[in-house]
Amino acid sequence: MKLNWFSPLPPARTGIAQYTMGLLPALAGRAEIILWTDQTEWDPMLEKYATVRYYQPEHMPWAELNRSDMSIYHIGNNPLAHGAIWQVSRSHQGIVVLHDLSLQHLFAGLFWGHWHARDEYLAHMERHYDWEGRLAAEAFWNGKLSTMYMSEHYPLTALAVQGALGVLVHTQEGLVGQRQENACPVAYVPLPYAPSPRSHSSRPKFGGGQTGGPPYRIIIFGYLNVNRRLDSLLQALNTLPDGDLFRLDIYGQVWDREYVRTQIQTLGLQGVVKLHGFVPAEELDSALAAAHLAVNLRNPTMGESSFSQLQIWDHALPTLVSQVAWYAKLPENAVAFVRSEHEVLDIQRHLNAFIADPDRFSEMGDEGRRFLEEHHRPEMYAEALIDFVADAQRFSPQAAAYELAIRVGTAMHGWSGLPTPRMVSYMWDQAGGFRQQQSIEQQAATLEAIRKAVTSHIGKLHQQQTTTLRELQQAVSAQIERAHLRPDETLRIPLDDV
Amino acid sequence: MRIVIATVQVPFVRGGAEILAEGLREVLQAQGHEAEIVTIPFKWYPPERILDHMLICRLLDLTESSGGAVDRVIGLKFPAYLIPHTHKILWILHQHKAAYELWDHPLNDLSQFPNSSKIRSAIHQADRQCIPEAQRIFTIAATVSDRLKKYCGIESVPLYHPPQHAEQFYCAEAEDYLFFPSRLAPVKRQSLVLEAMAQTRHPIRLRLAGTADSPLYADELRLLALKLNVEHRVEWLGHVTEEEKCRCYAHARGIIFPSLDEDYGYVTLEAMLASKPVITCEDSGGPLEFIRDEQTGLIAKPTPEGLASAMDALWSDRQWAKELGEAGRARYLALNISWTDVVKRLLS
Repeated sequence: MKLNWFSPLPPARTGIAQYTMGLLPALAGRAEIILWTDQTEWDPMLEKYATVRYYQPEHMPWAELNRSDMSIYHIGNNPLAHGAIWQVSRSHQGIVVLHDLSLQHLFAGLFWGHWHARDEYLAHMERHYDWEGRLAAEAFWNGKLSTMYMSEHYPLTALAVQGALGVLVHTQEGLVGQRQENACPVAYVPLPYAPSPRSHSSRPKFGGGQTGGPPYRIIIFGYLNVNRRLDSLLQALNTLPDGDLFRLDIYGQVWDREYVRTQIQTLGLQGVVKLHGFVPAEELDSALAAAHLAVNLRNPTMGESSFSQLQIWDHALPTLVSQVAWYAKLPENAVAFVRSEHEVLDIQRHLNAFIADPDRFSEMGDEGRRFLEEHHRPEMYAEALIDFVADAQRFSPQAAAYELAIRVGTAMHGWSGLPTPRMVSYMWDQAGGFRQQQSIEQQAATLEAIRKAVTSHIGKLHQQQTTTLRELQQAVSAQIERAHLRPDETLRIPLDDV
Repeated sequence: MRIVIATVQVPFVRGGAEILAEGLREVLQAQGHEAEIVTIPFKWYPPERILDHMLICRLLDLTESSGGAVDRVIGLKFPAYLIPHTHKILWILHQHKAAYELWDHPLNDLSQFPNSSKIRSAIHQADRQCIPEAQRIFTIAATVSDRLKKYCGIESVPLYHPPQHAEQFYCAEAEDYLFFPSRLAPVKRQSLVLEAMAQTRHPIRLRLAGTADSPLYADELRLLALKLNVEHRVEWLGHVTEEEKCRCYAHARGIIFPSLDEDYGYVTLEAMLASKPVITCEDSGGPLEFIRDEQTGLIAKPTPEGLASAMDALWSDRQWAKELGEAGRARYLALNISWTDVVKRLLS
């Protein structure tokens, strides 16, 4: 079997590049891999396992791609790392591996930040979220809504998997959600990680001075956006009576370095917190080895599983994680949960517990390492992926037929008067259902999940965006009144009205 | 019986498939059947058009016409052979080659499109499901049957038919030229023959008959002949009448037919009827069913060197060439290829 593999590659500073590097030895034993990259440099080690081909999305050698059995696209939220990959995936369909379940950051970054393609962005938002999406997109484009808000309410993930022959996710939630939304096969496989050969039991016991602390070293690393809750962590350290027993090392890129630096000074944490920025992998590795505790919070989450978490477990480190999405399902004895609504309180509770009984946290780290070795083996992932390629290949003629149905629906619009999507959906429904049939239990579980999601969504909307929504609703009502339109007719409301 | 011959045609392009359909209709009518050719216009680009044509064929109703039942449908070409009918018989000229044996070939235009993989898989799926709907499955050659088995796992029976105007071919005293009758197209590999001409030891002369699929390609070939300095030994005849064609066969020292993976290859049969030896290639497909190396012709490697060596061998021994040609005609006669047999087996 021959696979086209589109992914960021080391030395790109992204966990997905590391994921590919870690998975490659297991994958190369089962298939011939062509790594396609738009990076001008890559780690020569990759060529031990695969052929590396440079590409530009505008000049793709399609015949060469077609000679492989499947193309596999890795999509995450970094526009620099995934923009070109998404572009190719639009023309030459294959399996999309979702590394984030909300991809608004990616698309906002591409359309707004890179391509300045307002109309295209608005059209995509309208297509996926109707007029409400268009209004929100206009508000976002004009700076009236944040990317975070957009990401939470309009994930735009469907745009990344449109036309895909298969979707692979790394979380159970992703599996349920993507199965709801896609006709193509969807699979869940836990994110793979090749553990380092060192034994986790070699880590010194915590406490007792010297390398075992105190002071205890806390580490936080990666792309640190607001949702990584650094603010809460700083606040927790500031008001913790024994805060000086800890040292916080921040590695990677913070969303606003100046703001973070000011916060550290304002809170008087200069002696406790150190900003390191991005460092070579070896240096981060040493820092993880020297740390006593990792903090890996997400609020809100993009729905992803965390490669950083696997990296943390590789070092048998105990971790504070948010009790949301993928993180909430982690074993209780391998992580310490932080509730999003009580972040500072929970962080402090765990830090106090750490001081009182460091060994308990040391065991937590050991348990994490055991969990990593058991559930995230690259061989298991590679095997599942190869099986999934066969599923996607079987779906391929159906995907072609589905597109044909859309063309037929469009052709019949002239005399049926029905919009194409409605016509297509009718055709499939009459034909006995295009989607995979679910059992009664599955349907019940799905309905329950939907109910919960709707309740939670409504709650959040009321809580966070009541004002904005009211303004939007008023503007819409006013426009309907002015235009004498029925609510189901297409609306184009100038943003000025909002 | 009322019989529909279902096929497709690229408008303004006429070739062997059209001749075959007309030949079949003629013989069916001669045997007292009511026979009609139903042709679907075919366009293969962009690739999604292929699916459109597949759907069109599946939606056609040929069960009856003007209140009278259609007793048999004989499907010849993709996607016309997908047309449903209770009494469908297939006599497959070839499947959609770009989705099968030509998929990996540099000359394939389908694989140059980004979305072609799934179109290809849809074609495969349709063939696998719809071809077995037929009551009987024949192909025009063992090469086509082998592909059908290899790619779709479907068994079929090769059924040879005579070339058009088979009775008009004759043999005469050989003159000093090799003859290559074919439309000028990359798959026919005229360029390979020109490259071979540049490597022959003997001053071999070549006559090419046939028009180009695209004028641009004809110019390319002429430029290549100039570049290789063989233009003074090459004669471009363009379109020739049937009579001229038979004369060219009759007086040739031998016939060159190195085409890539032919389904059947009328040229081979015409050469055998004219008692002329054929030089073909190891990857030429259909011709290999008829040509035995050094018995009825020569089978060369598909390289300029391989082809040049075979051309020299034939050129240097006039008597041997004659003997190979005569053996070719004897083999053709032994195969008992006739329209009567074709119709008998199709309708049996």
